[in-house]
Amino acid sequence: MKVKSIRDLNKLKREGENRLLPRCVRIQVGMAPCALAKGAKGVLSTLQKELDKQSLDATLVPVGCIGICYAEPLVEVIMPGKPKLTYGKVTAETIPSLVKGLAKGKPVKKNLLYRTNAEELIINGKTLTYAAKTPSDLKKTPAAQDAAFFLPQVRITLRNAGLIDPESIEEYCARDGYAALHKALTKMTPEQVIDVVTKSNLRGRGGGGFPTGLKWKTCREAKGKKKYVLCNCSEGDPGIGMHKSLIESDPHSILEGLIIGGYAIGAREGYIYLHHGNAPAKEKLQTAIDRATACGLLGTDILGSGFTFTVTLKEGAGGYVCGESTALMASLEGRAGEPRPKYIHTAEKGLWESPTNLNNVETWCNVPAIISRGAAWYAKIGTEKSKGTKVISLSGAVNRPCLVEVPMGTPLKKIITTLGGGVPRGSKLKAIQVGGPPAGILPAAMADLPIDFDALYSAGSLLGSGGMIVMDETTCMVDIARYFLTFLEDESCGRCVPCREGIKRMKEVLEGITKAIGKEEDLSLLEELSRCLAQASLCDLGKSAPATVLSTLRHFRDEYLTHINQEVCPAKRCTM
Amino acid sequence: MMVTLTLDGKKVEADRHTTILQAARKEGIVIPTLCSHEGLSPLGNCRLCVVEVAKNGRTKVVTSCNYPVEEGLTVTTASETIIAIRKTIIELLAARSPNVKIVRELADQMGVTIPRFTLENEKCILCGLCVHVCSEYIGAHAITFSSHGTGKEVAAPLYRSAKDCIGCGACVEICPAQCITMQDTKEAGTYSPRGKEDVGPARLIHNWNARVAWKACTTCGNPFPPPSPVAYLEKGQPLPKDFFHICETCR
Repeated sequence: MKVKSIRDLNKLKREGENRLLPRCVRIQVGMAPCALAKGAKGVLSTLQKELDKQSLDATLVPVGCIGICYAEPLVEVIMPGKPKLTYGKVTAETIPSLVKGLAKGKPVKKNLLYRTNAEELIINGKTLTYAAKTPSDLKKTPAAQDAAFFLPQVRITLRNAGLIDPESIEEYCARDGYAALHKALTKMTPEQVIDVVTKSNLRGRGGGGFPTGLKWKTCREAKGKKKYVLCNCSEGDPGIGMHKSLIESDPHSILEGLIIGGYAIGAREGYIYLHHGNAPAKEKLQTAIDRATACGLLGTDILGSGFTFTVTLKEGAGGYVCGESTALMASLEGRAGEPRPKYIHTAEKGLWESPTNLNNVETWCNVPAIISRGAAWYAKIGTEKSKGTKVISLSGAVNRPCLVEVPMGTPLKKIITTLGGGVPRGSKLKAIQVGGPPAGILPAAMADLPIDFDALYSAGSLLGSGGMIVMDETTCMVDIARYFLTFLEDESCGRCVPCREGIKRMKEVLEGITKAIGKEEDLSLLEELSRCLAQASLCDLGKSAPATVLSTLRHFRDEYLTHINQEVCPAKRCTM
Repeated sequence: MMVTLTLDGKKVEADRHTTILQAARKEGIVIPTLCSHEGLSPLGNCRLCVVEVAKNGRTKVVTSCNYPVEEGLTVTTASETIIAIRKTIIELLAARSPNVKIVRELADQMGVTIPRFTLENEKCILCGLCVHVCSEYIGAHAITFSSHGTGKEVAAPLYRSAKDCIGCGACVEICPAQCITMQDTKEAGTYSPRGKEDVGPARLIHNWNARVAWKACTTCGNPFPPPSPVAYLEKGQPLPKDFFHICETCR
């Protein structure tokens, strides 16, 4: 069916609503990377077998990640007229009793984490009601909206994650998907769209925090026949998989954002650049593109507005540096993924020398919500200069590694204690790194800092991609700096001297310190090399490479000196 | 169109389409470079040509070889910061290639004596000029960068032999480290299980495993070695169409 008007869109929406709140039981199984790692595939097939065996009329739907990664595999049950139930740590052994309970209409309590009576749809402010009343047997089950895990969260980017079938455009529409696109195309001029994005103060979520509205405006005003909009899905930070999870949970929200961006900038072509070796994400995105094209939401005359836009999915050959804008564009053009000097901005000369606008997954996902609810609503969330929310992938020394979305301004400590369940018993918080390899490491004393572009920058760190790694006393700071340099040495493209030779030498010096052959002069040598790299490298990979070394030298200098003078590793990590 | 900028405290005029390096050289200011060539577009690989630019009260370090001149720009070519960066870069290069003449000379000039790192003995400094001249000026695209990071090197495609090499020797002449070797031979041959196959007079470029048979002159018919295109390159002129087809004597 081609969607040409609001009526067609509503038809699609109703189809989706019938799936989300069906007359029979709907069972949702999380199938994001975190769930697959915990055996969700087995849970899905066992559930199907058990449903057949007990001949229960139910639809089984694979969904994305709801963020409770520590309790995967997750199963959610929606029974008509009853609250939605969330089960955690489901195993093949617990499934028969779970299905039996559903067949009897009396859900089991084992592994039951939360119930949800109603939830707010962040995209339009309306409420989706599962059940008006709580049945007496479920009164003791905690309500999700009041739970410590969900209370501090505002899920704008992750609004559909784990709640819909990522391959179903109908379910996306049921939660008011593509309504923002309809609004933008039929009721707003491109300038008005840019104006709303500018007023919302949305800043690029890729790490730099550049104002998105300004970026779009520059690209719109740049001279050029052809313009391009790109989505950066090249996520390479070690230990972080938030974009992967987001793509696998809700690919249509990326597409919707990208189409709105294309309309605002005046581009007719969009590209999504994906990291190599990401088969599930690639599959989900391609399905989303195909479905959107089949429905007429991509292609010519979108929603009857006369606007034409196509999206192509491109897979890079891999490489951390391909997340850098110019290297990404070189890779898209089919050349080696090497950065080029950016003295002429990519908004003027980017992909194939045409004006190009690049934003990352998270930024694009924010766009439909901003268009739908307006700039003033978005600007109310967050701090003075950092608006909206930030997706945080929490890992390391915490009890509950998870994927959460918090308003800007949330203190790091709150994320660790409330959402992450604190550091494991018996150990103590030592350091936090928020933004991946380019971000400095912060000591525990700075855990009161808020999630905020400028606050973290002035503290010598970066918000970056939002991959938050918590370290306890078993982590050696010299060793962690060495680890990040080893990673960056491997990922450097090798084009410019400071990055290629400098990172290698800095790593050598750090290796010397961890092997107790370091000297005190090594610290000043490290600082000297850091200055050279930060100022003279060609791209941001080299420029930000010394961040972990400089920040650990600043906050944990004693630890370096203990390694050098006493030949002892306080964390007992380095083999001296 | 001309723009006015300040170079080391002196107001100068420069064409809008030139770079800081070009403007500075015109004024006789010496900025060290390893990967820049007047006949080619800038690469920005060696980073030795860094300068400090100030605009609207903000100072930043940029590479002068590819930074376009701007109206009202203030450029400092040898501040303390810049000298420190250049010293570190040349020290890193001197540790990589201690036996390359030009690196040693620049290190001596900058007062870098013994690098504080473990010495290696790479002959190539990875400036990229050979790859650049081959693809941009000659258009042969015979050689390329292989691998990445510290494993990066210039090589023939797939580390085999440069099949697209035309044997012009531009790479040999442009290499600042003089690490590419070339040889003309009157009788080149291939040895295979079938026996020796004669090629006749040919040019060998050892680094790329290239063996290019001399072409017969379209005028006199005698085979001749490919002529050097560097004279044209330095003047910034394109090569004549029949450049590689007519021998010196007939030209």
